[in-house]
Amino acid sequence: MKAILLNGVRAHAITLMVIALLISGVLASTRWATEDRILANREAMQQRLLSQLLSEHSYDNNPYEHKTYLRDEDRGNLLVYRAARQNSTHAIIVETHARDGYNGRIDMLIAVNRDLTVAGVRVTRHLETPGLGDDIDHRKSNWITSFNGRSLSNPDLLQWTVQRDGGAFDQFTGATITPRAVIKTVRDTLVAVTEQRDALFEYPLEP
Amino acid sequence: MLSRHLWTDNPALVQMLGLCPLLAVSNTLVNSVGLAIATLLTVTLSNALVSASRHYLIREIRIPAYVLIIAGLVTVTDLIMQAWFHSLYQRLGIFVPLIITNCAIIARAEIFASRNGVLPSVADGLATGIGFAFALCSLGAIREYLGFGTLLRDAEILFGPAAASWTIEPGLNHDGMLLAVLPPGAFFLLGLMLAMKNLIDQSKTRD
Repeated sequence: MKAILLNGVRAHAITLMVIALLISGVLASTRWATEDRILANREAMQQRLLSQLLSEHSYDNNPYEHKTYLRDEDRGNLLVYRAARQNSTHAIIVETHARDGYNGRIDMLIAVNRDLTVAGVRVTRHLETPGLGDDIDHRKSNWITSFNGRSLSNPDLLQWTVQRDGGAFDQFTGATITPRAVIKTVRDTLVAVTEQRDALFEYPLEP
Repeated sequence: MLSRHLWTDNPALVQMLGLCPLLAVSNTLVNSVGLAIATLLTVTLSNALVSASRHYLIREIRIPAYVLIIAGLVTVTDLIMQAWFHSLYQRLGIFVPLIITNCAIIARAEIFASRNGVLPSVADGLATGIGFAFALCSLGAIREYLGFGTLLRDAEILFGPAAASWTIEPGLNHDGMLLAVLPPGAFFLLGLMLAMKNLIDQSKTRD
């Protein structure tokens, strides 16, 4: 009886193992066949985003290969890409997020020029309400470009909020929370970049 | 068989299986078609594999074996979409891997494929997939039409750049009824579709 049971269990285990091995083989070969294309797709997408933030002639390196970090009080260490021309950092792109969107986290890329003005902002992922909060998405409206050229002195630090709170930026009809969160993130990023300016802009690019 | 899966026993509209992805991605027709094709492929292939291996699978371990097979197939679909339909993949996001949890698939494996030959199982898988696609695409078309006033918007992410001009705006010149593309709209419209279907069935039996 015991022998039969063991036998049965062993047979089951072996059958499952064979199936698992076969499936693993299929997965491994699919991965092998698709890996390069997937990587290329991701890179192409990142480059497309980058080219929306910075003019392509303004840098001659691949910013994704020159990373560093920005310490942000609320958000921890944020990834930073350095866009450089002739080895001198000309602008940085900070990968950051707002946690207080209407529907949770809003992922953003913020490009800051060497003179601490905003080069551009893009929302890369969000769950804001379609038709109300999603005007932060550049494909939906131009609102996000209202940050271009701004800095901590334009407008004053206190004015970095929506008009309803006495600030300088438009809110959208029916949505205040979403733009408020985005504006706050850009402001926090500018503050942190200003504090850590030398580490971000002056260090030579590692090869 | 087709008419049974398409209408009388429709996996989504009658058996109410796999509603989570159905409700989540059906906000535009193109998203719906994308997920429908992925699900159709998975259910057909999983039926074929389960049927082919049915003589080697002992009763006790059949469920783990199905899960392995389905999970493997979905991962393959996921990789292929990432490689060749990258923007669509980004739109559908988590719902591609979540095809694994579509109970309609494991239900067909257990009820049909484990007891029938490969060819009938493939036919059954195709029919189930088409039934699911029918429900998904009708809901997608209705929601997109009501929500955005268009059909086939963003067709290029599925059918290539040539399809960018496929978007049509049949009549109904409006900015869109926001509710239709929000999650509650999905529930309301699915409810209305069920009611319609039952009405049609009732009037048929009365004749």
